[in-house]
Amino acid sequence: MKNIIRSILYELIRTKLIYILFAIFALMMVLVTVFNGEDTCISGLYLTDSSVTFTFPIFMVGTAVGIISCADMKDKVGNYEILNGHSRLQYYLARFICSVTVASLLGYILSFIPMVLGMPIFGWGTKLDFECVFVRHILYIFPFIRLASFLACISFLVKNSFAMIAIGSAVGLSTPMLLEFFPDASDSVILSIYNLKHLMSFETWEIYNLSSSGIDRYRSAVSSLPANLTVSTMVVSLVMIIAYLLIGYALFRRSDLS
Amino acid sequence: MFYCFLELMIILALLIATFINEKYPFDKIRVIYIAPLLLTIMRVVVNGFEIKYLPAYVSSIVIPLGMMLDKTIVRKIIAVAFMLIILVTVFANALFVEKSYDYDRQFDEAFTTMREHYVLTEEKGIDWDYLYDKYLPQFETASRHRNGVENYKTWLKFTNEFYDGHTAFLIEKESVANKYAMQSFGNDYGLSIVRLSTGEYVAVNVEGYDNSYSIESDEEDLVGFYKIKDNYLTAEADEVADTLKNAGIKNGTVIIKWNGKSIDEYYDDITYQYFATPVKENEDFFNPMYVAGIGINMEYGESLPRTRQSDKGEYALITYIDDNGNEQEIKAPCLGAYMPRLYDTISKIDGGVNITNLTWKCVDEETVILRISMMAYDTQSYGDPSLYTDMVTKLRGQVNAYKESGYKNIIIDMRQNCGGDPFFVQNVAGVFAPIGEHKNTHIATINENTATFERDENGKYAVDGVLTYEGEDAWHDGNIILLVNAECVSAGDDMTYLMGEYPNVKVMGITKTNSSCQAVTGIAVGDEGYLSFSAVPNIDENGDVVIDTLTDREGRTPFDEYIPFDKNSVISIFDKGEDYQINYIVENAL
Repeated sequence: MKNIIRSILYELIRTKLIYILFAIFALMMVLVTVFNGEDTCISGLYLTDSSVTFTFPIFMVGTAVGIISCADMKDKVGNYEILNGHSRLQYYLARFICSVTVASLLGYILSFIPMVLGMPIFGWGTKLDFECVFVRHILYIFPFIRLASFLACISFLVKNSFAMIAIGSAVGLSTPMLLEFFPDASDSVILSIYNLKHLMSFETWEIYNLSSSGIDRYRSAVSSLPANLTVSTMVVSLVMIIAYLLIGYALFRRSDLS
Repeated sequence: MFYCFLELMIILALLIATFINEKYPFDKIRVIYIAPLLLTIMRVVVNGFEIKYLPAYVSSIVIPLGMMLDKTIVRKIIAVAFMLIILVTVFANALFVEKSYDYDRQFDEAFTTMREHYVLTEEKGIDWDYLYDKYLPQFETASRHRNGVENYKTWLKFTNEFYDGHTAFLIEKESVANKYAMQSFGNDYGLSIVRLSTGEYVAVNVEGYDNSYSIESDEEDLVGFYKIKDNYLTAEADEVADTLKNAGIKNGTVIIKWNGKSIDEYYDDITYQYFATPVKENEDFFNPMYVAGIGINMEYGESLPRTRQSDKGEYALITYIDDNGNEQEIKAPCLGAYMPRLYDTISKIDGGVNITNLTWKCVDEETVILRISMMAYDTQSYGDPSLYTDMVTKLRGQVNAYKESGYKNIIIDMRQNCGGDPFFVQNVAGVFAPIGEHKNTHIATINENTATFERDENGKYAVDGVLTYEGEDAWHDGNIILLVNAECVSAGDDMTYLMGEYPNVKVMGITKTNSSCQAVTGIAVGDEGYLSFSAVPNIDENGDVVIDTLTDREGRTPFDEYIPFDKNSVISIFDKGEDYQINYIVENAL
């Protein structure tokens, strides 16, 4: 299996499409940060519209999984691996591990751009406590891996890079719509998209005060991360990753390689 | 039920797919085994995780894992067994559990927020721990019994502890709110009771008289109680409706005892009212009305029993003085829910002149009424002091026109004024205020990072400025009567607070103003509730809270003269349908 993983990574490093996609999404994140950060400090951006930190990274995860896990399903590389004495389980695990690891890492890195780029330009501000938000952001890795696992699981059913890129894009596109149409569900950690949103949602208090010019509005937020959210994010993610891993194998083990 | 149906369809599809696959082997058809898992995920996303569905969650994960097994028979058994578990779980929950009742959790969350941001804790001597310990078990009981009415009543009791007109629990959906209210204020025994200024308790709004509320009435009320009142009528209501009238009880008949007890003995049992009355005197004025909903052997607020196995609530035992001065006793049969009659009684006593806000009505050649039922002009100007120019110009013109026409008295009718914009208040008040600059409320200092108001080392709110307005004295030579009552609240209190100090203004009413004038906010409670509470301090130059009652429950807005509430007023209001208070002012106060 080690050799299969090495071969996949070797091929991946030489795949220009991944670099191009990453560069495009990174550029999008930069633009999003610059345009949204203009009106507020970065903590204000995290408070008012935290979805900018994960919407484009979700696209990246979706497309990366498609490219990595389905790349060898058209050119018979997989068949040769089996003929060479590797088991179907090794074939499956190597692709699952590579696609999930690389895709989730790429998405995870992208998600930090607003924080890394925005802080020097706009400053962090006082709306939220940086350390707490940073810890919340660290936990993004769990839902990103879960999302990548889900897509990897699907990829062994679809077995087509382009179809998977389309599915990944559909997931990315549906993110804002899901968050818009089912806002109440953002308390849930079951879906990775909602888990991401939930991790960067803050308990807020809004109030007003009178002034000679009218009514002024104020908003404060609790930055600290609830312990149950940390635990549920980790536990649910791990359970679902294992479930996707097993379901993916169940789908793959007796199906054709290509 | 939608999910039950969907789940059932998927299970059927799985079974059909299994049999088809037996006959026509097709590898990918097994993908359908993921369907229950996807549906479960969808359900959890939309409805949230519910522990009662745990067997279904686990089963939906096990079913697709069964695909890895080689033996078809084992795979089938696993699939069918776990599908049955899903089916039983989903249907059992849908049929027997219906929905989750987590009133105690809702209370806990709302309580925590309110405790953190309520601005009158010190002033009103609120003991939060005591309240939590007292009410949490009651909410837990309501959850256990899955009883929305019990939950509603517990909220009313809880909010009543604050004696604050801005602290209230509301049900947002009108039909549910009215249903709960109908079951929270006792039963209708054909009358209401009021306490006269002389201390006597008399019957009012007695069933069977022309101007009284009637169970047969097909009129409509603003709130919507009349629409549903028939659902609560007893089977015998029509036959026994005139029991009191036939016994000679009419508006003004003196009531000695209710169920064998004097009326004021019940006062401690009245743990909540339809609207808050922070001023103790006001509360005492309204308490007798609530007593009239208590049936025999019943607690306050208990509603008509569904089963008639005992005489609980079936009647109220009324001891009264008849026309000959003799003490009599009668069993007044239960007619239905008391809420519509209670609402009607309060409305008849408290309601203002029924004309549009900020319009005028002439009483005679010297006196005119300016009706102010709410402190709002239009949606644009609300909260923006710079947009009241049109209103002030118009109001000034009207005042001058009445002055030139020889009018000498203005009655500003603020009965049942529900409050509104403080900038509306100071702009209207400015027209009548003495020439010069006047101070309105002082602004409390807010911590912008925590969005909370800061107190100094003495526990007083830190002052950050003051709102001021200019007086025009447009009615300098005339009299102004501010007609108020216990339902004149919030910005209505504020206007009384400002104008009550002007030299030509007299504040009158059957009851004092509500005395609740801190600015208000609200939070959602569960899916259907809303908790409002005082959240922005309204203070004086020393940082002391103004207007709201303190622990002594004394009203703190100016008040000059009570309008006597005597037998004449009862006859005038409940028999003749007159505006007794306006008539009294015209005849006696001007």
